[in-house]
Amino acid sequence: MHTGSTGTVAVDPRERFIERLNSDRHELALRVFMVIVLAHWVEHLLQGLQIYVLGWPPPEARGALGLLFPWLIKSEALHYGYALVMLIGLWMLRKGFTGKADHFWWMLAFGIQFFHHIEHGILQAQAILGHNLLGRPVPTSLVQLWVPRVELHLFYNTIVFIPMVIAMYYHLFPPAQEETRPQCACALHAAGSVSAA
Amino acid sequence: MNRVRIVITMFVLALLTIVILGWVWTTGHQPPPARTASHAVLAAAACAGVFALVKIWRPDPPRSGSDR
Repeated sequence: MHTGSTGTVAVDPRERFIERLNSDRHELALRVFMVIVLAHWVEHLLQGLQIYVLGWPPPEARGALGLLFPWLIKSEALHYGYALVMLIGLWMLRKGFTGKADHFWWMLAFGIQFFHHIEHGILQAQAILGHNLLGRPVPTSLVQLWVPRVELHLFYNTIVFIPMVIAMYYHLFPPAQEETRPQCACALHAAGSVSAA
Repeated sequence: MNRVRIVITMFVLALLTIVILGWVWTTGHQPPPARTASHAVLAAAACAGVFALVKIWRPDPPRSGSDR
């Protein structure tokens, strides 16, 4: 945004915020994002242990948070909210991934998370409308018509997280053959970096 | 670099453990169509985990440098 009268350039605070998130604050933003993602993973792994090892019935296996706040984990809004946070985080932090490899894997994670978020959107819509897909007793997403929910979401979270991890690995250790123009200080050692003009 | 690789590997191993436990549990507790579907997605999740390990540990690593 330009201010014509003074000749100075005023940057939209939102743009400035995104710009900083993808430059000098990229490392911090990624760390915070990873804490959120890993906390969510702990819940899913714990749920898996509760069902597969402790033999709890799936509706009773609610991870750690669900033991303290059962209503919370039953809320489709919570699941949809997390899927949205993931989607927004992946989108907002994408510009910091300036290499070819890290950007590809990060955007792949974004694409898969977009579909995952649609699935949660379908569940959330059923919870709001009070009508479940094809008359099912519980809110049911499209792929859940074939695959049980616990295993399906273990799968979704895996196929979003693995490309994220690979992206971050290449972000920290850029491939030797790749010329990058890093905007942030995340790389533990720059490979073939080209200083930004 | 190896420290980061090891952390990722530990996570993937935890994931693979859950996947294997899930495979065993679904075999005994789900009806055939659901079981087959669960096995398919669990196998795909395991493959994704193994793929990540291959990707980060392959012998053509990024340019070497000091570990943090």
